Amino acid sequence: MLKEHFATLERRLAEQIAQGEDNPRKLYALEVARFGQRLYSGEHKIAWTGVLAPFELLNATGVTSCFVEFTGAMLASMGFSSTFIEESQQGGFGSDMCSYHRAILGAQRKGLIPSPNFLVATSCPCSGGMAVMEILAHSFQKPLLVLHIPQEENERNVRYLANQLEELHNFIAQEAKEPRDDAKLAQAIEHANRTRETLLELYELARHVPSPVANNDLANFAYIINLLMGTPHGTRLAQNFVDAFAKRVRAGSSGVDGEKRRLLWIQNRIQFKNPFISLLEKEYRAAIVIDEMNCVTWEKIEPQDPYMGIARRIIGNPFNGPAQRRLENLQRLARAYRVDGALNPCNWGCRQGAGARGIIGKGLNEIGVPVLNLETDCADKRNFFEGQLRTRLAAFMEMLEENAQRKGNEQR
Amino acid sequence: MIYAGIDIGSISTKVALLDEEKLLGTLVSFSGYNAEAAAKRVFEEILAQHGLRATDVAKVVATGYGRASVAFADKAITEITCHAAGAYFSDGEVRFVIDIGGQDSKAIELGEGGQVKNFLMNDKCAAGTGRFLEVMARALELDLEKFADFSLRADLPAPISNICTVFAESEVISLIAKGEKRENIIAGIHSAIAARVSAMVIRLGGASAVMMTGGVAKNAGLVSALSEKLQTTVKVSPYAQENGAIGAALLARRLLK
Amino acid sequence: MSQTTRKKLGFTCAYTPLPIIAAAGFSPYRVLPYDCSSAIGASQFLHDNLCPHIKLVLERAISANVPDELVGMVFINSCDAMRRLKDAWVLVRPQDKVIQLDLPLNFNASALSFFASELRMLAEEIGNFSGKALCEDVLLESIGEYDALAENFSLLRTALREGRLPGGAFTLQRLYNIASEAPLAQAQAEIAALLANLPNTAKKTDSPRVFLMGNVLANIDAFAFFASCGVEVIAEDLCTGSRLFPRYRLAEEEGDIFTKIAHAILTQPACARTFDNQNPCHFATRAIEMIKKSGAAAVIIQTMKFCDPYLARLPLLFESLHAENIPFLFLEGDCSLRSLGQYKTRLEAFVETIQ
Repeated sequence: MLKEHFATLERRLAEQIAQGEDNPRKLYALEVARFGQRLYSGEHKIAWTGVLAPFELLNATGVTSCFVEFTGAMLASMGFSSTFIEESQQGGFGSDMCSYHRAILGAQRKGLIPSPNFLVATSCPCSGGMAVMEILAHSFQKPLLVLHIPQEENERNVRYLANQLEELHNFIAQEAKEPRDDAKLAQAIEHANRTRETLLELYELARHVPSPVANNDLANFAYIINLLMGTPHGTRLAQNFVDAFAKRVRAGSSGVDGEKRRLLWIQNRIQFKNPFISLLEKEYRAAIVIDEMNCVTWEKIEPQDPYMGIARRIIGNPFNGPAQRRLENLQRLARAYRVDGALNPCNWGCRQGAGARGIIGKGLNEIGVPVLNLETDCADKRNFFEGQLRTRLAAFMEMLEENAQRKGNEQR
Repeated sequence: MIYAGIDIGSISTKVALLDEEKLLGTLVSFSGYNAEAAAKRVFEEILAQHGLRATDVAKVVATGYGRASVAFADKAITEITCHAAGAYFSDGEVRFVIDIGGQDSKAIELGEGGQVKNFLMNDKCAAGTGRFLEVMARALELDLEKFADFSLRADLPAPISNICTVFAESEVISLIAKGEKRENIIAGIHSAIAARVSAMVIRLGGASAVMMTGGVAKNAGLVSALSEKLQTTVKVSPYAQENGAIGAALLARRLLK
Repeated sequence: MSQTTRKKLGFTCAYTPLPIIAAAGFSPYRVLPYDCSSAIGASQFLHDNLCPHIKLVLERAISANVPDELVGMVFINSCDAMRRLKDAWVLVRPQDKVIQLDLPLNFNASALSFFASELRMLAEEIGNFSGKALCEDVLLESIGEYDALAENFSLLRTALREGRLPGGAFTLQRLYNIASEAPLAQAQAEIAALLANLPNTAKKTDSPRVFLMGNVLANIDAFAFFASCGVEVIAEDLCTGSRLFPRYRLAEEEGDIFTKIAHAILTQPACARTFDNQNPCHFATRAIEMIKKSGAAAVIIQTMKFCDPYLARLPLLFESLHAENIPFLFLEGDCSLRSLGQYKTRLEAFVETIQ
């Protein structure tokens, strides 16, 4: 079913693009469709992974890999997740669990998740994700490697993770029955570095006032970029957006018509179809100028010393380590992008992310950025209460409007 | 100039009229099933009471759950912003507003000038809302209006441990069966609601200069329980039920001039 | 210096290397999740939908319901909730010395080496904090004391299984809590007194013999409650119970002392968060082994709400119990007796089905 879905999607998008509808978001969607095809074709070597798996290693060894939460997100965007979540609950998985995880567990029970060659679990970002990997490894009876990502960034920890990454590289080569090729990895790192540079350029353009970013432009962008890390495709997707945004900036036009408010979106977007984004744009002229997930927090990696560089990137990810580190990154983004407010979906069941809700809210309030906690479900539409969210959003936007008026009065 | 605010709630619809200097009057009526009809009815009624016509009213702001249905309103503003404005009008020292409505409860933090600084809502479950009290009143076979008096006579509030309204109702029935005094049960119910609602205030980072608005604020027993939980005297708005409508009228005056 | 007069370093997880804390001159103190009625203060920092264990622990910090002698905490990076607890604790009690140990998820050579260096770091840091470097002799002595405690608890568990422990699981949990909070010598004295007076024969009872498993259940009234519902808990696997004081058995291990301690901790009876790559369903397998070894007729699984490591492993555990024809009852709680009170009918019905 999913194989056909991605094939149909790819065909439709390719046709639209051939007819001139080649905006960067369509090109992005086409890449997602192609990625989905590779994952579901049955003809490629595939791996299921955790969020912070080093995709360069996997791509360099010819393995198409995906972190399980993204699959959950894809199922939600296709409108299937609620069915699979129900299936997972029938299988005994409690409704308190993260809905992304329940979606994939339910899909797996229905036989709709292809059996991988192997699995790679990552201890960051969450315990729940780790548990899902274990369950999948047991269900598929396939080899599992666990990456322990230490919390603190220091040389010992980076070395420890780097050694694990080298072991992982050997593991991937063994399970994929491909020779370990360090030259290919070096080349993948070079691609990754180019992707990084293009992303920096892209996110710098997004800072412009008004921002060239329309609210759906960069939704889930970082996910697919990470999955394509180490290939030229990610750079190309990022470059498409750079070109489009640069054009908008030169023309003085904004992604959201008449941009009035600038927002930071915390953690994950709401994956299924919902009126929220359109409401922000049309009713409130509010632009999501930056997503927390869409920022570059790593330095260029030395191609001849890939494991240490990747290890540093992973350990330094703001979702790893203390909430304070994550908060500092959010504060940095809020300042850099001159946001008026932040939206935190607080996805149901998200212990690692939404768990620090108060710490993040207080920390952003301290720099004058109000936060609206949506308390919604990003993957299960049955848990999305439109009326209540509209009221909260309306009240929040009224608050931002008042703040803006006060700031305007103070500056006069 | 005259300004009007209309608060269309699930149970009652309230209206307030202001001129440039003072509150002219308020009115409370039932909502029924048609929000727009209810808004029109109370608007016309208050105008008639004051010898005014619709054309005398410069601006109208609608709030509450039915705010989007009021075609003749100049603007719809959420009840959060309106309750904040209304509370600040009653008392310029207030910093936190608690509004327990029929179907939701809110905690609002006010800034220096009475603007909304932050807010939290419980609109996902009946616990901590007026609905919770209605369910309990039915279980105790008592009018809701008598709750305050009963609870203030409690000698030992019976703890209600369930946070879910449905289970709390079973728990209350069990307490009745055990022969627990209604006074103590009601005090326990108030304590349970206060725990839930005060948690929102504490999450906002404060527990002083608190005012309660909304119809449930007339329940002195619940106000007392909240004061105890927050360890501060919770004031009650002199216009508890009409607070949202007053706030809407103030905003009509302020924002639309 | 006896533990009675020492400053305390708090802990919240059964993987905490208590001998190192004690050897550095501190008295380990488990911050148990007392039922504070609700964790209102915790919601200022953390989401409500985190496990009640850590919320109630945080609540104790917020309400200053911790001993005056508490000067710091040793947290373990065991799960998301523990990480968030540490994040909030440093804000609530900035005066505390807070150390977080990174606990690997599985056991292999590199994890062992890593965790040994974590323990070395811990020893150095708390040694500096105490003003006196930790020396190996003192550490060995401390390990000896905790091994002696572990041995005594093993004897108590045997007595429980054989029906010879007065007060049953209630008594055992009470002693676990004493050993978690009070100075070691005090706990040992009380345990020794009990062991010296254990009856030789089992108390006769018709109650079904049940294995209790789960995560956190320190409330001793819960054990009295189980008994009042007609259940005899004869063995348990809880992180506030039998997983709490592992044996270190250093003589059997290789490497320096920290490697040996690391080995002992990484191979101690595991919580659901711990992995076994080679055996992804090890949690259920291990549970079945323990249950069969105990001779219990049935199982009560009691977990706290919102515990992701357990939530995810439960379906396979239930499947395995079904396959083995072992009757079980699943209860989800919030560390307080309040929620267990709701389960009286279920427990009594369960007893009726297994009798």
